[in-house]
Amino acid sequence: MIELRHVQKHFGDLHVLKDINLKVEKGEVVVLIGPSGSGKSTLCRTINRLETIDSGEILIDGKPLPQEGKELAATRAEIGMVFQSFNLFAHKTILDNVTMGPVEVLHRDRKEAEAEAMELLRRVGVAEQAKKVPAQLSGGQQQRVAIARSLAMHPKAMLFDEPTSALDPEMINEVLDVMVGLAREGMTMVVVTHEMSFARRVSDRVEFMADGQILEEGDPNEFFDHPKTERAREFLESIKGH
Amino acid sequence: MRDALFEAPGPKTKRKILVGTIISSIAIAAILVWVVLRLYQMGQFDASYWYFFGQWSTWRFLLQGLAGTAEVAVTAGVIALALGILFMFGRISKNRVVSGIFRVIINFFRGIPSLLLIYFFFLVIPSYGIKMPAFWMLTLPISLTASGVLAEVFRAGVNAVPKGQREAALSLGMTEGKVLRKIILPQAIRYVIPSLISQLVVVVKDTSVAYVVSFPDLLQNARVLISNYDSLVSVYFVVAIIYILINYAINELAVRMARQSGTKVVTRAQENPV
Amino acid sequence: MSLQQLFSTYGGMYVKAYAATLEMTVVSFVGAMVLALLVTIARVCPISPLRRLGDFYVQVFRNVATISLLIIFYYAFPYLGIVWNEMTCVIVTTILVAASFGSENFMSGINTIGVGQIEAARSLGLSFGQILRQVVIPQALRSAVLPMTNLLVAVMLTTAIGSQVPLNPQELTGLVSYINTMSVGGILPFAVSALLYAGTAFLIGLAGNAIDKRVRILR
Repeated sequence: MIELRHVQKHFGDLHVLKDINLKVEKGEVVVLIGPSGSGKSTLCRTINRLETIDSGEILIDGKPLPQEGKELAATRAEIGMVFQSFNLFAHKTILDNVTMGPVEVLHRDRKEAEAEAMELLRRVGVAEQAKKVPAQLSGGQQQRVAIARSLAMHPKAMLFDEPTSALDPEMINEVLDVMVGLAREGMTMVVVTHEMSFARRVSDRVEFMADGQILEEGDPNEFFDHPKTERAREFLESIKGH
Repeated sequence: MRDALFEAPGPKTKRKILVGTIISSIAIAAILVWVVLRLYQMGQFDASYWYFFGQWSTWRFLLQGLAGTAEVAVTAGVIALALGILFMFGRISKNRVVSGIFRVIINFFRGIPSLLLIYFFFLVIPSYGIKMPAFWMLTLPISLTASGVLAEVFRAGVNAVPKGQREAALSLGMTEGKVLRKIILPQAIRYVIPSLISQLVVVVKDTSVAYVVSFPDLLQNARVLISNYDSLVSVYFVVAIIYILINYAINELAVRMARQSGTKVVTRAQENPV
Repeated sequence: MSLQQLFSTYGGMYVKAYAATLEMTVVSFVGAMVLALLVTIARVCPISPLRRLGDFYVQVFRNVATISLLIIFYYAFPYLGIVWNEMTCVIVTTILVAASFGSENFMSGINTIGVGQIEAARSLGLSFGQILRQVVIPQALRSAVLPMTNLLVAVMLTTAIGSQVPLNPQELTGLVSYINTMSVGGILPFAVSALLYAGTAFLIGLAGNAIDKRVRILR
């Protein structure tokens, strides 16, 4: 479904993605893990071209990711994205945040879109907040709305860029629970996260990145219990303390 | 941020941007050529309009004017700072009557044009037998209108100081007045330094009506040059550029100080209109 | 001169002067908003000559002394074969200066939105036009309410430069100097104009606050 071939990217002198090859099959949940600055967020963001690449190929359903225009917008509409900082539209109500995509992009009837949005909000547990604006919600609630906003587009895959990193500890689980539910339903997911429990419970594969390279990949339990590389061992040691 | 509005262009978009760049460059060049041509046709490049800019006496005279502008601007700026802080203290007073009075004073001076107040000092005050040098007939009205604005700038700064600071200082046993002077005000001023500097630009611009009271500032001296050399367009053009350069320099200073200070910056946008 | 005398002699002129001030204020403000929008579009567009032109425009017109600009239009432009009447000169000057500040207000309005929301809109598949209409413009406009209110007051105060050219009818500031040259006016003629200015500014401010309260975006 998602395939990256020999992807290279520089930020000025910094080589942030070094010959990345990655394949995500339909229904697979892939977790990208690694120290900060390892390029995992950048990698995640290249998949819907929020970051451009210098060379290599990105294929979505076997077709190259379009570079601009309607084709790019149409591809993005099919891939959900959840950000670290939620990025809800500050001037719109929670309900309008969720209906914006379906109404504006898919040209759905507003009434229908609202009914479905309410259903989604109920599913992520924030239906009572529908008439409020984002700033009135807690971080965890906002992030669940952001997930509902993506789901309203009926995406065939979803990207999560550190979805719990900006949350207070007691709110992390409410977001992770929603994500676990999605994974169980068979959603194709690429997740950048430090949440080992999540990776162990639901991911099919872990990709360990450092210095712009994928150093290690494989079964999550295998990776967390018996990391093969020194870098991975050091990294796991450093996050285990918490 | 303005770069974030547009995403990294794809090949088609790149081509469109290139075409746009070429067309707009040509259009801008064409306008410039038209302006220069127009000036040329109207004989404005004639040496008689420009030769005196090659003479030191011309520049000395303009610099004298500029010194007058600076004198008024700096004096008015200092007075406005002091009055602005005073008005702000009145405005945030816990005594409702005091704060009401200062609210009226501040809104009055923010709400009238400095030119009107200059006419007041120039025409009205002398009619009551009070003699005042031209310098003060210009400087005082400019200070007063600026002080109304600055009072609100300071108030926005004071409001931006975190509440915890006051509580922490009070719990150390400081009195309210001391907290305000020693803890709140120094931080508030740091927040608004860029706004203060941009207000200096307004003050400099306000001084340019000095000719109303016959005070020799940059523009007034320029008018003398014009009558001496009968070359209005060239002199006004040069003077306008001098104003732009001075104020540009002041604004750049504000930007740089905002960047260097590293503290948060309270901008004019955060002020209340009333 | 008593207030009664003042109004019986000059009352009609005050009404006209106030109307002139208001008219120039409204026309200039509307013109400035349109121009500010165009300048802002130029400043954010990806075509670099237009960007630089927009930036240059703002630097020139927010830094030039307003009076010197008026004098150039009124006294110097005729030498270049361009003759505008007094009111046009005042309005054009005010528009040009106010548009530079207006564009700065729009720019800081855009800056408050943040890259994240735009990226989120992009990820939903919204087109550039939709992002502008749905996300950028509504938020930029709302956070520009207070600064634009302040600008409207500033525009009104700027129209006082009309006193420096033989405007007919005169505006509020020019009228004060006129009355004082015609008769010994004392403080009253000044006070009437000042109160009209300050009162109008106060009302504009109240209206701006009320609008801001209704549309303010919680962050």
